[in-house]
Amino acid sequence: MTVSVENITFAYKHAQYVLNGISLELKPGTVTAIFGPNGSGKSTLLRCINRTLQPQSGSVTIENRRVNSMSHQEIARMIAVVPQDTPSDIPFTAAEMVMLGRFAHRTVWDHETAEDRTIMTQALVRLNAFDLASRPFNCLSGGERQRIILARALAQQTPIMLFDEPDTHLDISHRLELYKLVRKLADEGKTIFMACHDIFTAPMFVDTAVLLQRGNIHAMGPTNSVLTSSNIAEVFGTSINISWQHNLSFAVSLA
Amino acid sequence: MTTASRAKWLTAILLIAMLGVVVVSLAVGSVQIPPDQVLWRCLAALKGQITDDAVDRILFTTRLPRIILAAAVGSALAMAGLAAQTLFRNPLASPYIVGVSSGSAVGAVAAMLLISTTTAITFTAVPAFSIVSGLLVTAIVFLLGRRGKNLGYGLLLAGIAIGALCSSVTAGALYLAGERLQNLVFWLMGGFWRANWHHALLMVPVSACGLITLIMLAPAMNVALAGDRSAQDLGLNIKKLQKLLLIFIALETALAVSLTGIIGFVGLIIPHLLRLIIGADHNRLVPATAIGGALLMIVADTLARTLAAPAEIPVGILTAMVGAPVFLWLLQRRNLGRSVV
Repeated sequence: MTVSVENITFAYKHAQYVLNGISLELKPGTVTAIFGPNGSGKSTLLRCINRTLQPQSGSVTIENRRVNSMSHQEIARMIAVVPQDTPSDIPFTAAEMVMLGRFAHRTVWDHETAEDRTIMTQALVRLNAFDLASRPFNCLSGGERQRIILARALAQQTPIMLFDEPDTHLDISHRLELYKLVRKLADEGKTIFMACHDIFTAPMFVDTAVLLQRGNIHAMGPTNSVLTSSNIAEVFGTSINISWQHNLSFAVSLA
Repeated sequence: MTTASRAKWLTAILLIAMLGVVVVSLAVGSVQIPPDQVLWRCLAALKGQITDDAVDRILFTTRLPRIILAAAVGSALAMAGLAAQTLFRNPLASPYIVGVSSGSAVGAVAAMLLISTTTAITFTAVPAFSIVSGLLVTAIVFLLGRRGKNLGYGLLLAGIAIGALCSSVTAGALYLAGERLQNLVFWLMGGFWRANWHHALLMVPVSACGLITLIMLAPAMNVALAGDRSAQDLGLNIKKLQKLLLIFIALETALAVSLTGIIGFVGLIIPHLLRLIIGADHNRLVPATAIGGALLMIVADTLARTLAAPAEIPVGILTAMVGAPVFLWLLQRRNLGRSVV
């Protein structure tokens, strides 16, 4: 499903604009990653897409349907979110936690079905987390928790997935695992949008990069045209040399 | 054993225990009736054969409605406690936290002072006044505390403040009116000695509807525990759920309190204890809580009317006497700060 973001602006109370007229399009089968310094508005933009934040102007549409006209449950049937942080004091087991992903597909009258349980198990297996199923969520390590949250998002079975800095608490090997999974999900036809800090490894798995600076899109397009030495210098205020070898890999050195 | 099958076993055991306790409770009292005779009389009654002798009158006019009322009130309070603990994401919340009970107490005082002290009128006016003022005070708490994306914090603070205000009014009235409010002292401590079939038949549908409502809300309540933001991502309108839970707590608690006074600790202890045993999944916790609350209340009320017979101990004293040490034990076991809803 295609997501169109048109000219949205957003400001928190008593604050300057965090998003300043952002427009972009997310296409099925592609990974779009958004880069930018802390506070540039990456997470805010993500939150506006699934309406957990309400933009002051502009619109978000999924296949020509405005997100504003949908209920939380309808949105959650189309968009799954892997949040930056999840409170760890949740009293569920890992399996129960993943089962929450099925909530969007419930009606008032039908509760947990065998199909829900199958989907929950598949999600856990896909994340190599089946052995964690009966462990209490609040006893898991940071990385394990992240896998369970990912499994929960998969169990939601949505055509669109948003990742809010999913790489924050992960070491390099877990990070690569995550990016590979993200790539695979896109190759299966999902629309993926990911807010990202890691400009060094993530680009290898990304189709379109967006560079955000103080609520404005500084550059957008194929990664090798967006993540260039000059753009990085302008947006992050730091100077490194990036030389792209071909579309997917590059060398970095201090300027 | 998985938690799911443990939950099934526990719920079944609670249910059987409750039936057993009902038989015992029917048997004991100022007139002891042998349990086998209780069973035969009950079977006969089910076939519609109720005689006019003393035994049947004690069983079916005095004891049974009282037991049924105790069960219905116990499960209503326990379910309201569970709803409050989920609404506030805090295992130490009770159904009285949003000000229903202190509001009801003010209504009861007003009824006793303003209308009459003759028992006949007071006994219908007190429930009516207390239910209205209990709901009214909850509505005020809601209006004061409704701001923000999550109702939890606002309601908690407004509930505590308004509750304290109402309690001071009640205490002031007690101080000034003294003996005229003897009834109120009994009412505040809670008890089932006024129980009759009217009360029982009023409370049972309320508790039954409450159980069905909470079973329907169980998946949403699970999602609510995942935190505000995640709950929205997962498709839950958290504020809507919180409003529903608040209405649920207000209705169940106001009716229970209006009929039987303020009975403490059932709403706090039962959901908390069961959560420790079978986990936090509301699909399992809701039915277990309803049965557990009923069971505890029947036991407490049976003790209340037999321990010091022929005198009655207010059941609120007994639940608190059992509840407070359990509560303290939980506090010792769990760190208050790290919530384990």
